[in-house]
This record gives sequence, structure tokens and C-alpha cells, in this order.
Amino acid sequence: MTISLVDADNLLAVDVGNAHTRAAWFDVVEGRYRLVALGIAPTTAAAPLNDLREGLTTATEQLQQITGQPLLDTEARVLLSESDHAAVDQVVLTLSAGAPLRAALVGVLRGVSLHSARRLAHQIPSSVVAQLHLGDRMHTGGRVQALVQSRPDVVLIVGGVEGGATRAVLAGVRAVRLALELIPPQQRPEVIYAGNSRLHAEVQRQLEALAPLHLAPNLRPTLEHEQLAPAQETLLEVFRRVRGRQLPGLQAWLDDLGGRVVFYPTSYALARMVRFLGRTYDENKGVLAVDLGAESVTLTGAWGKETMLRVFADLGVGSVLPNVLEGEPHPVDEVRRWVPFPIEAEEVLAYAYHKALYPHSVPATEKALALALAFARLILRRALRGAWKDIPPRAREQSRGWLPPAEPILVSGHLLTHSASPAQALLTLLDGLQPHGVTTFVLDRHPLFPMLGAAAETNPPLAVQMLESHHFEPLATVLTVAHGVKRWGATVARVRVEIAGAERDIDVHTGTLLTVPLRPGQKAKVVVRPQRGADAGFGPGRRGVVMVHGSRLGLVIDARGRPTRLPPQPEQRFELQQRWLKALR
Amino acid sequence: MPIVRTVVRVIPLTTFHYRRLLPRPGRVVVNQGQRVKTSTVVAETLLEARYRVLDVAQALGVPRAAAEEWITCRVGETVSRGEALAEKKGLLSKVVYAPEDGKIVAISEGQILLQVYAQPWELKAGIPGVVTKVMPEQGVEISAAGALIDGVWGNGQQSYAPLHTLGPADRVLQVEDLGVEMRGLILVTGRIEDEEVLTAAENLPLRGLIVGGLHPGLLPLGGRLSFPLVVLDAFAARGMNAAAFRLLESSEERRAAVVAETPDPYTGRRPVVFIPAEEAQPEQVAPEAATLEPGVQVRLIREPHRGQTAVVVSLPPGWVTLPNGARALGAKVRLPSGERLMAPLTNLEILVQSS
Repeated sequence: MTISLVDADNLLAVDVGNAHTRAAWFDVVEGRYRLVALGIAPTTAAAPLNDLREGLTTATEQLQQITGQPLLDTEARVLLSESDHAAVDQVVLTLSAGAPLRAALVGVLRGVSLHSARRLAHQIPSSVVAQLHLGDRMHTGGRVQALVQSRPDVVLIVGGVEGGATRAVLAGVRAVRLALELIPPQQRPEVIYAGNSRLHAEVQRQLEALAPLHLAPNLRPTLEHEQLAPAQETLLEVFRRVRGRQLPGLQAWLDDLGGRVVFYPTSYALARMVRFLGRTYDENKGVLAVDLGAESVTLTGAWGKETMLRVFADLGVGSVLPNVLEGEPHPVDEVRRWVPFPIEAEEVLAYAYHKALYPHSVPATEKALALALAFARLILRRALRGAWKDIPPRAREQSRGWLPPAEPILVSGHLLTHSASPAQALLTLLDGLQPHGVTTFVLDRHPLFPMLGAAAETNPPLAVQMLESHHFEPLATVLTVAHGVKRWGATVARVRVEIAGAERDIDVHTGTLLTVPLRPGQKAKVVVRPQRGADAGFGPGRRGVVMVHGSRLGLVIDARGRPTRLPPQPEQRFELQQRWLKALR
Repeated sequence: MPIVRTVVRVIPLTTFHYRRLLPRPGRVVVNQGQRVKTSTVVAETLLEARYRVLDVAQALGVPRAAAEEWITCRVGETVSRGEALAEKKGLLSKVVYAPEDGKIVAISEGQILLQVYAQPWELKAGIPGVVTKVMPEQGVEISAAGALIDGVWGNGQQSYAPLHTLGPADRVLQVEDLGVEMRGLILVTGRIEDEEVLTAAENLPLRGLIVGGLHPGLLPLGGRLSFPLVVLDAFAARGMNAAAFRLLESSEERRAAVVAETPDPYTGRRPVVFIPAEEAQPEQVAPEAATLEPGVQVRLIREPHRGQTAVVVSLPPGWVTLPNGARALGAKVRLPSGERLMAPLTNLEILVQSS
């Protein structure tokens, strides 16, 4: 893509996670945007420093040292270009640090307006702490009590289609008003009203003097139609305000920049990038991103113009890890089944609770890493199940119950990008997500996608050009042959791979995972002929041809079945799991 | 930038500044400079309030905007059941009565909000000492001299009672180890692996339990005990670290304050065991944080050397690769055996312990 960069702006991007603060410096070198330097420091929002600026400054100082370019003034404030020609033109901030926002939802019908409110709230790291609606069987006093005791950061009032119900909505508004009267002024939540717009004036009259009130377009203008996007902007503004109050040092850092900073939740910035990619890539296949974090998991996808974003603040590989051990029939056994060697139930429990005490600690032995990855598989499965209804219907229909077609699948999260080997990471992703057909996994190690998603708002060329850079690591292209064959070792497909004129024919057997080496820069033509009943993404028994690009692990053919089943006998299971891992190495 | 971390403390004699904060705003009921016991209430608030909403406008059949004209009570007033709160006089007089005893907490939009019950919640000092700072509506800082040991997990309870140690440090406590002579004591032992032991301890009852290790399956039961349970080291089949065990064992029969707070990484709050000094008043203040740098003593919190102490040798810049292939920001540390190894920064706790 050729873009004039005569007056191109440089960009300082910072991402503040719960464990690490990262800084990246992008500038034009030889006519193209480049990632010039990266800095990393521990995040300092929590005790003992309780000042987010310390980590931000350290990470930015590293960029100064690497580039020799002055980015901070003597008081560690970002040097903006208006004060110095050789300074920073643009700043973007993405942030995932901090406890989930506590959201109280007030609606009319549980399955309509409240459902939409939940979907909106789950687009940022939040936990729903109260849900009030017509069917909640509470009297007004109980509702007030629920609101006060749940100590929300944000109250989201919804309900009433356009021109529709007002009485039930106003009953909710009055409960919120009474609750606000009881909460000390400095602790009152932000209030978003996204219900029947006919009530805007009345809602303002009742609530504006009591708490910061934000009016947004109706989430459900009609019973059938849901519109989250306009209210999303309001929710983002509320997120910024709440985080500015909650995270020590953040507001001061933002104030120093005088509003010249683009600031998004990391999950939302990632979704922006995915949305952008969704319009670029094959709209029939879509693009998916998975961020497996310590304190949350983000799943976001785009299929043409249809998008999905879901943040699970109750799932993650850090302090919330013990949550995985709840809500399943035998979760501990399920974790044990994904560890490729004998492990006691006690060790699984000990791992989860110890991780909760030290959420940012990393697995430093083979055993701890295998356990962490077993948990990761369950987390991914649970997240996908939880996000199922958020996936656009067209993509869901195409998927026939599996992961909807997506290429590429972008992967971030320290466990998968830094702790696990490429083979371990891929096997975890395959077991957790159970993709179908042909897809490519791409690792975002630094991670840059959220930064670019935020940057795309003011600097689209930067985002476009960085996508073509080598900073994203294609992990593998996976061809999954789904089948219903229970007998192990049966042939389910024949695959012909042509690399640089040389052909290789492969019989694909059930229960196997195999790789065809294909280095980055190489290309291969792959012709797949599934047996009757088997499906490689082209329909049952249908032949398909794909061009595959090289990657770290090359072409991986997965014929282990969907869902992948493990033998019940431990010895067989361990042997098979080791064999699969070995096949990817 | 130096890496500053919260520290883990095992200190025989220090001045401890302890912040005691309410879970929500309330009222501080002690003054700066006041001497407090462990059981002294230092602040109070209301939790678990229950409300009744009386819709005056609807009951009197008047417009919401005009309803307040007929309301006869005021915010802050305490009312009794049956007391008239609003009245519309006339030919057909209508009255709204208080359905229960309570307090008027809000009048708004023709509605009266009656707080009919509020559970008072008291914050006790937790340790004996002097109030050195008052944070209005939030809590206090209490200062005292004595021995201090930080834990990793607590069940939210607190007590103050004499210590009794059942060694050695790796002892697995059994039901038969518990006798009636331990009733009212805070028991110190290596580890607990059996549910029956916790049940027996509850039945005695003990006044507190300090362990090195706790079987992770016992966490739910541990959380429900009526006395404080503090885990000093890990949820695993491990005993107590030697430094803490030595200090507790040498304090046999001395009264200790066990404040088994649930850990919170954001605030740095964690459970503590504090043994007040009888006379000494050291000048040294127990640090809450320290800089991770060469020469600093650390404790490794993850396998393969979990629980071991070490000394930081160097802090290499950038990512390091661990023996299992994982990459992390790391530190080179030296174990007591002389072995040197690379450990992730996030797997180290700075240890402050003195003999």
C-alpha cells in the first residue's frame, strides 16, 4: 500500500497491563512506518508504588535510550511536538490494568433490554454486580438495597423501545435515584441511560444533580433491533473516567498530555484492529483474536461488517484462575486430562490457588507449564462457549457448531506467546478453540495489535504498514479434517502438497496430527480430498484447494476429530498427547 | 528505574505501622494518640442495610411533584411503626404510616425511603498500640513495637491470644495432636492436610491457627472457621519456613495478634501475625516495600525452588529464557547451597528478616 508520508507523524504507544507496561515507538524510516523501539517495565498502579506513571516513565525511558530521541522532559512528562520539533506527535494508550468495572444493570425485560445491557457491559472488562428488571421479584426497597450494596462503578439504565414503555423504565430510574441519595457523593457511580429516548429530559431531571449522567441512544430501539455501537462510545468514555479515578497517576498522566492522547481499553482497541482486518480479509471467513490474559480473556471477531467482542473478566490465568474449577461437573479431572503425564488432583488445586495468590508469577518448570496450558485449554473452551451467542448469526450458521471460520486467528497473552513453546501454544489453541477447516494462527508477542487498533483512529497508514511488517509471527496454518470416524488410524483424507514444484502426497489418518515443514517466505499449494463424511472446511466429502504461506511450524494437519476426544486410559492418553506434541516440534 | 516491590517480613523486633480501613466509609471513633487494645473498636460503619420505599404520591393519589407537600417526616428522623409519615387532610383524609421502625434516609419524587434495618459493622484495632494517624471516614493507623510475620492467605478473622507451638516446622497436624489444654490458644504448626483436623480445631475451639502449608482442598472449610487461620507459606504439602517457625517457637505463651486479612494485591493488604514487645521500643520501622537489586534477600514463590530463600546476584536487562523454555524478565539469584539460577522477577518476593 503506497501512502504519502511526507508529513507523517511519529507515534508513542503505551499499553498498561496488570503485570507489565509496554511502550513502543513508531516512526518513518526510509519512507515507511517502522517499529523503532520497544520498552517494558513492571506496572506500578498497585501497591507499593501506587502510581501508574512510574512504570510508564520507565518503559518510555527505555525508548529514549534505544533511539537517542528525547521523549520525556526533565519532569518525566511526554515531550509533545508543539513544544519541541524533535518530539512526540501522537500518543495512544491502551489499558487493561485494574479490577473489572462493577456494572449494575437496570432494565425492563430480562431477555430484551437487560440482555443488550449485559452484552454492552461485556465489551469492556466488567463484572455485572446487580441486575434489576420487571421480573426480579424485588420491591423498590430491595432494588435500592441491591444497588447500594453492590457498590457499582457504573449503572446502566435501559429499557423501553422507542415510543414504547415509560412507566417501568421510570420505576427503575427512581430506584437508581434513591440509591444515589444513599451513596456518599464522592463514591457515586457514573450513570448511563440508554433506554427509550422519550425519557431523556425526565431522566436528566431526576439524576443529573446526583451523579455524572451520560445519555446514549437506545440500545433496543425496537424489540427486534439491537444497536450497541452508539452506546459503546458512551461506555468507553465512562471507562476512561472511572479508570482515571481508580488508577493512581493515570489522570495526572493524561492531564499532562492535555487531551492529545487516544485512550482505549486494550480489549476494545484489539477489537478495532480485528474489525479493520475483517474488512480487509475474506469476509466469508472472518478474523478472530484471542487474548488470554492473567485477569481476563478477550474474544473478538469480524466477519465482513459483522463483529463480536466479548471480555470475560472472570476468566484468566492469574488471580481468577480458581474460577475455572467452578461450574463444570468435574473440572479438576478435566484439567488433569489435558496434562500429558500423571498428576494428582491436589496439585491441580494447589496450582490454581497459588496462582491466585501470585497472579503474575510464571511457570518455571515443565510440570507447571503443562498445568498452566491445561487450564488454558479449559479457559478457551469456556470463553468460546460463553461468547457463542455474541457471534454474528451468519458466522454461527456457517460454523455448524464449531468455531466459526476465521483466518487468521490472532493470539496474545503472555502464557501463549512467552511461556509456551510454539508447539505447546498451537496444541493448546487447537484443543481449546477446536477450529475447523483452514486457518492460520498468528502470535502477537509484543503485543502490538491493540496499539495499532488505537493508532488507526488518527494514523491509519501506520496500522496498515505495520501489518505488513515482520513483527507478527505466523505460528502455523492448520488444516482440520473433521470426521465422525471413531476407529483410530482410518484414512479420512488424502492431501497433496506442492512446494516449489515438488509434490508430496499424504494419507491423513484419524487421531493424528502431522506437520509439513513450510518455512516463512515459502508457499505451498494444498489439495485436500476428504473421504466421504469427512470435512476439511469445504463441505462433507468435498475437495478443496488452498494456497498456504510458510510459518514457524508450517502446515499442520489435524485429524484428531471434532471435538477432539482423549482416550480414557491414562497411559494411552499420555502416549498420544506426547506424540501430538512431538509431531509439532 | 529500580524495581520496587511489596516485601514479606519476618522480623523479631520492629515498629509496625498498621493501617486498619473500613470496607466502606463510616466513622472513626478513636483519636490520634489514643492507646488501643486489639479488641478496641476504632471505626464503625453500616453494612447490609434493608430498605422500604413508601410511594406517597401513589398512596395519597397526588402528583409526584406535589407529594412532598403532604409528607410530614424529615430525612434523618427516626420513626416508629404506625407513625404517620404523610397525610392528606380533607373530607376523605389519607395517611401513610411507617410499616416498621426505622430511619428516614431519603425523600424523593414523592417517595420516602425508610431504612428499616442496618447491620452495624465494627472495625477493631487488631493489634494493641497507639493510634498514630486518623483517616476520617476511612480508618486509622496503629503503631506498635513487636515481632511481625507476614502471611500469604487469611480467612478474614482476627484474635489475640497466647501462642502454642507444635513442631517441628514440617509437622503434619493430626486430630490426636489437639487437646483441651489448647482451648483458647493460637496454635502454630507445620501444615494441615486433613479436614477432620480443622473440624476438631473448631470444636475445641482454638483462638487461632498459624500454619506453613494448607491442603488446597481445605480452603473452603478454612474460610468458614470462626477463628483466624493464617497460611504463612503455601497451599501445598509444605511446612513452615524456618525463620517464621523459629520466631514463633521462641515466642511460646506470649500473646499474639493474628489478623487473617484476605490478601489484596492492589492495596498490598495481607494477613499478619504480630507479637507485641513488652518493653523495647525500636526505632527501626517495618518496611512495606523495598527495591529489588543485587544483594537483596528474596524468597522464590514458584517451583522448582519454591519456598527457598536466595540472594539477588544481578538483574540482566531484557527477557531471559528459563530451563523450561519460557521467557520472562528475570534475575540471577544465589541459593544458600551456592547454586546460581535465573528466576523470573515475578516469581520473587523480597524478604525482610532479621535475627
